[in-house]
Amino acid sequence: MNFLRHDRALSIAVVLLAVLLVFVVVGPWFSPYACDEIDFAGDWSAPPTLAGAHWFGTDSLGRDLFVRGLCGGRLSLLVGLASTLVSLLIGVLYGAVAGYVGGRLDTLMMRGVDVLYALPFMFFVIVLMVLFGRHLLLMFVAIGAVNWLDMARVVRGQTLALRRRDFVAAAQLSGLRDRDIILRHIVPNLASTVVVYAALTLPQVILIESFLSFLGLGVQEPATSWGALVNDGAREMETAPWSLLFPATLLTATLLLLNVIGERLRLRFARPATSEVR
Amino acid sequence: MSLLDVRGLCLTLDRGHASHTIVDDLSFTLDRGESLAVVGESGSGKTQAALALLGLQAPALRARGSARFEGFELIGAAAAALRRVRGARIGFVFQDPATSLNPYLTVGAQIAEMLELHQGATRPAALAEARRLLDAVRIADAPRRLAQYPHEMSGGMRQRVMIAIALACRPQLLIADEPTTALDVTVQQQLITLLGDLRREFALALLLITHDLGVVAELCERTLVLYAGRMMETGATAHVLARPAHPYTQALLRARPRLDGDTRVPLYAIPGAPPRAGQAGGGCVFAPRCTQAMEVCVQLRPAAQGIGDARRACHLQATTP
Repeated sequence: MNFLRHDRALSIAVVLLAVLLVFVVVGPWFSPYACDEIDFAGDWSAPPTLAGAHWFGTDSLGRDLFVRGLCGGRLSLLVGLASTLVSLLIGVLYGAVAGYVGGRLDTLMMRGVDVLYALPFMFFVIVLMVLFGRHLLLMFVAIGAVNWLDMARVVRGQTLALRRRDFVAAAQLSGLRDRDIILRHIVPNLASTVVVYAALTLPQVILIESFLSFLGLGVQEPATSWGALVNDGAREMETAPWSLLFPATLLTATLLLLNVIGERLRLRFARPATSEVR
Repeated sequence: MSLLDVRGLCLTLDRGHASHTIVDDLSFTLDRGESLAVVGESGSGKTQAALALLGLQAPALRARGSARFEGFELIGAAAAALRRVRGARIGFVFQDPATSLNPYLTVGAQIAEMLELHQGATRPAALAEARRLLDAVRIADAPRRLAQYPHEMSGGMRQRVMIAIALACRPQLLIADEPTTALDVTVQQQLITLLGDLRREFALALLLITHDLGVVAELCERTLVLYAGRMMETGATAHVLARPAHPYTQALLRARPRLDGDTRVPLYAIPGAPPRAGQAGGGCVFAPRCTQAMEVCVQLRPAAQGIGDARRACHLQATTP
């Protein structure tokens, strides 16, 4: 973790993201309102004040926007993490096998990836949603299953290079099976690339989820996500601009922080270990 | 029965209709506890021949002939059977210790892996054995070293770790492919001494692949000289180095730098270059560069002849028996 100290942008982004994460995860428990609770007594059209009952005002149904923003964040981040994990798992295994085995199998597997690339992704997800219903779990799988393509390509490229290294030959000469060589010797050597790539995939996936929710294909009421909140807010934009501004700010800030972290990690690990990143 | 009996080993590179011979009709035997050096220039096929014994030659190469290890035929054996031989019965040490160890795993994990794989040892038992192995290859402070990664070690120490991995399952045969080439001269000497000691301690047969005649003289009882994939001469090391019978071996020995030599005289170099794959004609492969070549050398390939262990492939009359 030494490199954190040498990279100010990275350390600031990590700290801010950690604060945001704590707020999103813990915040709702300390709020006087529940995520789906309607404040019948309050003035729904009143602009938000720090002195008032609702720091960020209420939405058109009188629910506290502050707590809904945090709840929505929980869901957005959860979908992001789970989908990233799914794409990581599929992508790493697929890419490592294709790169390691090589030859015809490699050609076949990678042309398969090319074919999947050619499918219009959003259309694909929407069809899945329509066919199987709007289940949260399905959304993880759908996004992850489409997002692994990039990961598979990156991992395959790395594996091709690793395959020629002496320690892989040494492992073969030691009598290891191909499966064990891939899992024990290739995959650990992919770690730095995969971590960087996962950090860059995470904001992408969150954005996809928000987009789906904005279209009304994502999470369903009363549960919410940042995308769904932005969608709600956009309808009230003229009368209650804060209901758009608040969730949009949260979403943008998170994406920005994740992108900064991913980019700094990429710079860090794409360079020789000795050089310093400023 | 000898431990390793190689007969007529051929490696060919098949490209469509053309077929290039990389290793041609290589035969030798190795008894238990015995050591044989395979000497040759870069590209003479020595590494590929050794890899072919374990079925891991370059994918484009096809191996023919026979190589029996403890009576078991290695050439063309099933993958699963070969995996049980690799590492367990035959250990292999590579040239460059910097790249032969996995940089993401601790040294202990890499030694233990061998024992878990071939002997079904549990991790604690394997680590305890790994500690003894590090002691055996003279690495001090073994418990601490086990937890270290390859980059925390020096080149010589990494090569010791490679040897420990190769010896983990107590193989009968150790194949060392230029084990000292990538190391400092002083470290080279330490490793040669270590290999000599380990041969005795572990009762190992050693197949040493090298182009360093000094290492050969110290480590191996017998020597086989390979040129362009063909055996030129073989015999007892003392004999081959002191009274080489083949013009190629003679030229090789003349080309060695000497400490007591005149530094103003340029080093002797064998004129010409080795033939490229597929360029060798019908005669002796060394004939184009040989100072004593006769007409017959270009036309007819000399067969390996000799008494007992000492054989050579040359048309010249043997001068002294």
